[in-house]
Amino acid sequence: MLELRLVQGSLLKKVLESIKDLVNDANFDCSSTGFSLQAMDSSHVALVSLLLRSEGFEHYRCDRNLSMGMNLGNMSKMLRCAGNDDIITIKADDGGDTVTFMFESPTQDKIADFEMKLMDIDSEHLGIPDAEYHSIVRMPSNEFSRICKDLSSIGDTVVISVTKEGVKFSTAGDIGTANIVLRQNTTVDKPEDAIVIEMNEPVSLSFALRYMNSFTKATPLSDTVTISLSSELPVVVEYKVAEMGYIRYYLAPKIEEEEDTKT
Amino acid sequence: MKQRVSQFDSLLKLLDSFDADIICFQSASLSCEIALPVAAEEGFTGLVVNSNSRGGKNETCAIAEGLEDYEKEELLKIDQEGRCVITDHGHFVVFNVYGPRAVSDDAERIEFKHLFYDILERRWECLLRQGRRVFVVGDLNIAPFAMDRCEAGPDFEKNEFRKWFRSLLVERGGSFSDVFRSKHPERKDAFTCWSSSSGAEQFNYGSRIDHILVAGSCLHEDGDQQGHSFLACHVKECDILTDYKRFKNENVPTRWKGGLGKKLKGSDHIPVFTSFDDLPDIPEHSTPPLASRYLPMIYGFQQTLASVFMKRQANEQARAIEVSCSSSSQSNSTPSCGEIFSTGPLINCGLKGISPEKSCSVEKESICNVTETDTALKGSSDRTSSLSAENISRDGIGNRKKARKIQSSQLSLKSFFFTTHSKEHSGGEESVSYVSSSQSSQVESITEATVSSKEDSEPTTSTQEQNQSGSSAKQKNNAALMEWQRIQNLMQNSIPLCKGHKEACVARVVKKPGPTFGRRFYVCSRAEGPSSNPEANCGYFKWASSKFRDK
Repeated sequence: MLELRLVQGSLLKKVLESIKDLVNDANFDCSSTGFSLQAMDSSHVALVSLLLRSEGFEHYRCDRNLSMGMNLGNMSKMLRCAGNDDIITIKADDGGDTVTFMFESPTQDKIADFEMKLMDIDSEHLGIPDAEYHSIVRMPSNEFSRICKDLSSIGDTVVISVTKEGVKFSTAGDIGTANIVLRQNTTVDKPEDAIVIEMNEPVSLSFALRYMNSFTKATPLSDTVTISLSSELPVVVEYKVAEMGYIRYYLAPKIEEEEDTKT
Repeated sequence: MKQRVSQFDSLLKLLDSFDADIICFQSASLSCEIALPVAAEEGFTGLVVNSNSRGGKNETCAIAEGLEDYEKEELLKIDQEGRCVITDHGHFVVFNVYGPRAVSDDAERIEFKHLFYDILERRWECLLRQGRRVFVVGDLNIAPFAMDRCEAGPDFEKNEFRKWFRSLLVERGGSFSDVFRSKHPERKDAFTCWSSSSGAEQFNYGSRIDHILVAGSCLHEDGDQQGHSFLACHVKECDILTDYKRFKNENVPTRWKGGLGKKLKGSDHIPVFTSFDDLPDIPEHSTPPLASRYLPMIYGFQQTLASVFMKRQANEQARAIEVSCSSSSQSNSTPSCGEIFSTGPLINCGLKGISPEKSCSVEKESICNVTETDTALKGSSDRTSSLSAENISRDGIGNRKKARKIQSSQLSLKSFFFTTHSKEHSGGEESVSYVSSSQSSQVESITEATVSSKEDSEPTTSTQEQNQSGSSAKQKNNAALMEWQRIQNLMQNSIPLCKGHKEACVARVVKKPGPTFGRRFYVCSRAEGPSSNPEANCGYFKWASSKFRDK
C-alpha cells in the first residue's frame, strides 16, 4: 500500500514537465525514505535522477518498496489536469497494475481521481557515485536557461569553461560565434540572484545544447541551478525541489569528431 | 534556397550560374523567367484571383477553356494550394507544376491528386488542340517506370498515377515526351529526390519524380512533318544536375547515425535542366501583370533612408542617372535585354520580397550605403555637404526638415554604435587573450590528469590544488571515475545492436496513432539504401522492453 500526499501539488506537476521531454517512460521507486526516479533519455546519453524525500510529504505511507513503471507523457497529461493550488495524492496497491492520482482543491470542494495504467519497464538501477568536482557554479536558473536558449540559436554545442575570472559559455555555428562570461557576484539583494563560482581547478568542457535545453525545462522548480564540472566526469546540472529533494541531470561531455579522428 | 543563395553570394549570381533563359523554382514558392513570358497565370483553372488585382471578384473570372464540366468550388479547391504557375512564352506554354503527394491510404488526398491531374490534362489537351506547344516541368510526385525508382516492387508500375503518367507519353499514344528518358533511355539510378528522413541520399536510394515533359510540333516550316516533333528538332540536351545533391561522400562520415549527426541543408530534390535550340526570337512585348515586379510587396519595396538621400544627391548632381534608371526599367520590358527578370506570383512565401530584379537595385543601394557610412564616419564636414545637397533638392521644405531630422538621428545612432562597439571590442580582446592562455593551460592539465588517472603517477605541477585537497579526495574521485565508466558502459550496452553491422541502434517512438502509439523501438542507425548494399540500413527492428501491464 502506497499513499503519498503532497500539499504543494504544483511541485509534482513541474517535476513532470521537467523530465517528460527527455525521458519517455521510467520507473518511480518508492521506499520509506522517499519517492525517486532514475532514467536515461532514449539515446542513453543523459541521465536524470529525481528524489523527493518522505519528509517533504504531508503524509507518506510506503509499506514496502515499490517500483512503478509509468509513461511520463501520459503521467504529465494527467497531472496537467490538477490545478496549481491542488493537493496531490499518489495512491497504489502493492503489485497492482494502476496508480491513482487524486487532486483536491485547496477549499476541499473538488476532488478528482485519475487512474493511470502502469508499465513493465526493464531498467537497472545505477548507483551514481559521489564525487568531488573541479568547479561548481551556482547561478540563477533563468539566467542559465536564457544562455542555453540563446546559444542554441547560434550553434549546437556549448563549451563551458570555468576559470578564476568566471564562467564562460561559448558556442560557434555557421553564422558566427558567441561568448557569454559570468563573473562571481555575491553582493546581491536576493541570495537567489547570486553567481557563486567555486573553482578548485579550471575546466573546459563541451556539451550538446540539445540536452542542456531539455535540462532547463526544470527552471520553474528552482530559482537557482548548480552546475558541477570535472574534466573526467559527466556534468551535473542540479535543481532543488523546494526543501524536499532535487532533480539532477547528468551528461557526458562531447568529444569533437575532428579530435576523435586525429587521435 | 537560402543555402543555395549564400553559396553564390546573391540570388542574381546563383541565377546567372545556371546560364539559363527559363528557371522554374519549386517549393521555394517562386517561379522566375528570364525569357519574358507573354502572359502568366497563377493556378490552372482560371479561377484563382490574385489578392492584389483590383476588382477581381470570382464572378468576373472565366473558367479556363475546356474545364466547363467541373464545379467552380472543385476547381477553386484544386487551385487553392498554389501548385501551378503557367507562363506563355509565345512558342510554348510552360506549366510549372508541383504535383500533390498522396500516401497510399489517404483516400482524400488520392482523390485530390486525381482531380488535380484530370483538370491539368484537360487544360493541356485544350492548348494542344489550339496548336500550342505545352511544356510541363516540376515535381509531379510520380515516378513513371520501375527504373525510375530504387528497388521498385513487382506492383510498382500498376499504380494508377504511374499508369496515367505513362499514358501521356507519345510511345503510349499520348502527346508528351519525357525529355530526360528520351535522351537517356537506358540510364539507371538517375534520381532527383531522396527521402531525407531515412538518409537515402547516401546510397542513392531515391526516385525520379521531377520531370520535364514536352508536347507539340516543331517550328520547322517545311511541309513534310514526318519525323519532326519539338523533341526531335529542338531539344538539345537534358540532364539532372547531380552537383546539387546535398550529400557529398567525401565530407560526411560513413555512418548516417539515424540523422543525429550533421543535418543536410537545402532541398531533398535536385534540379533537372533541358536546353532547346533553333527557336526564333519573339517580338517585343510587355511584362505580364502577374509578374512579381507588380506585386505590392516588391513594387514599392522598402528603401533604406541612406539610399533615398543618395538618390536625391544623385538627382541634384546629375539627372541623367534617373533617366538611365527609367530607361533601364523600360528596357526591362523588352525580351532582348540580358538582365530581364520577372518573378512569379508565389514569391512572397519564400524570398521575403526580394526579386532578382530587386537584388540588382539592392546591390546598388548597398553601394550607396557604404558611401553614406563613409561620409558619416568622416565627420561633420561631409554631413553638411550632404545636407547642402539636400537643400537644393526639389522636395518641399517640410519634407526636407523631416529628412534632416531623421538623418541626424541616424548619424548619432551610428556614432553611438561605433563607440560602444570599440569599447566592447577592446574589452573582448582582453578576455579573449586571457581565455586563450587559460585554455592552453587547461589542455595541459587535462592531458596530465588523464595520464595520472591512467598510470596513477605522482601529481604534476598544475594539479597542485588537487594535491592540496588530499589523497583521500583523489581516491574518492578515482572511485567515482571508475563507477561512472561502469555506468556509461551500462548505458551504452543497454542499446541493442543491429544485426547487419553490430552497431548501436537509434531509439524512436511510434508516432502513428494505433495500438502501439507512443511505444519505443530501436532501428538500425544507417541510412536507407538498396538491400544489395551491406553498408546500408539492415532493416533491424526491436521493440523497447517497456509495455503496459496486462490486467
